Amino acid sequence: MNVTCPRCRTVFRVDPAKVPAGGVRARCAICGNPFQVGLAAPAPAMEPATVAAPAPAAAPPPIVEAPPALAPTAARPADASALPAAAPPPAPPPAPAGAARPAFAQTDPDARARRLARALVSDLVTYQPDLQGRGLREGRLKELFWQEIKKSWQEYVRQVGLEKAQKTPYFRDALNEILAKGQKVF
Amino acid sequence: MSMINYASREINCKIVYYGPGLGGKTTNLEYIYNKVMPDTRGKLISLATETERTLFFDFLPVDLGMIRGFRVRFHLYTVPGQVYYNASRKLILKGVDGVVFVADSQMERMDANVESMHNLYENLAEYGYDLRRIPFVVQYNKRDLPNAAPVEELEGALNPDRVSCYEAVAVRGIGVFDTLKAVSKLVIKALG
Repeated sequence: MNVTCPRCRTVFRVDPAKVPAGGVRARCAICGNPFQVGLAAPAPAMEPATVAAPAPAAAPPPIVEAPPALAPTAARPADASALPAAAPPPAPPPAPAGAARPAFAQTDPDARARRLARALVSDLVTYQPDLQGRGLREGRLKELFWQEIKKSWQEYVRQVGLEKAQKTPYFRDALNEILAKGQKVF
Repeated sequence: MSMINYASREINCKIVYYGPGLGGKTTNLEYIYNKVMPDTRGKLISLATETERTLFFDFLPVDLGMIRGFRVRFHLYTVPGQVYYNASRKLILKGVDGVVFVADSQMERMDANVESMHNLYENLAEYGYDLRRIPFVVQYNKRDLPNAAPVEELEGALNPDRVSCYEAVAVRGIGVFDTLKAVSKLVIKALG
């Protein structure tokens, strides 16, 4: 099935088998907007893609700004809308019409931190897929990836700062979503 | 920037293959290395880091002709793609004449692609380079995989300026030389 992000209008191909009967919350991999796929609750309020009010010229469109959810093709429990209230980043200004493109190297700090966390954890999985499978099967993800997670966390702190690293859930969320494949292990 | 060797009458140009870890940068380079004529290429040098290699070799394309009496020798480099090897990446970018961004088309690597592209802009900016002003092409690799994201999606996330992009399956050589030719042409044009 095709699913369109209501904000940036990107169309995704989603395996219908992965969408539960009650629908699922998804996060646009392009603009980060959370939205509903399939049935269930009405879509959350979101900024329209074409907002007349001009945003500051330098304001980049958000790459990701929503509380962690999932990439369009990933499945997530139906109660996913009950996301942790822990310090969700403030919603950045909507992108000006026609500017729906990433402004590289000038991103909102929260979007950047979240993307960095996900990239670091994605690297762990990409380089050691077998270890991930073993960790999931044996319930030993934490133990098996401890050194690598530590190294990634140190790089994360180095880049985003200790305060942001500790006060935001991005790194832990990335571990749970990507390394633990949606399980709450970390 | 390009270095001129008057003794050998060669212009040396540096092309860097950039992108997330395990995206296919090394595969591109190895394929090219194995296809160019042995007598026109230098040694394939591998600088091993903890978990990833930086590859380098130079070659002299025979079909490029001369530019004002000079031949053009290309020096191709890969960078370590994992996020935490930025010091090496930055160093390798110094003096770059052209960049190929090798994106991993797999959906699961979207964040890593975007992070790597941001990192490329940032590292170039620290040298005073602007990616929009230097020869630059994008390659979407691993197009044969079932979890490959649509090209439009990758373009939207990674290629805001819509520079030339090429679909590739580097392990089979598909798109590898198209990408190299494209960036080489841009580099040659920039020399002129």
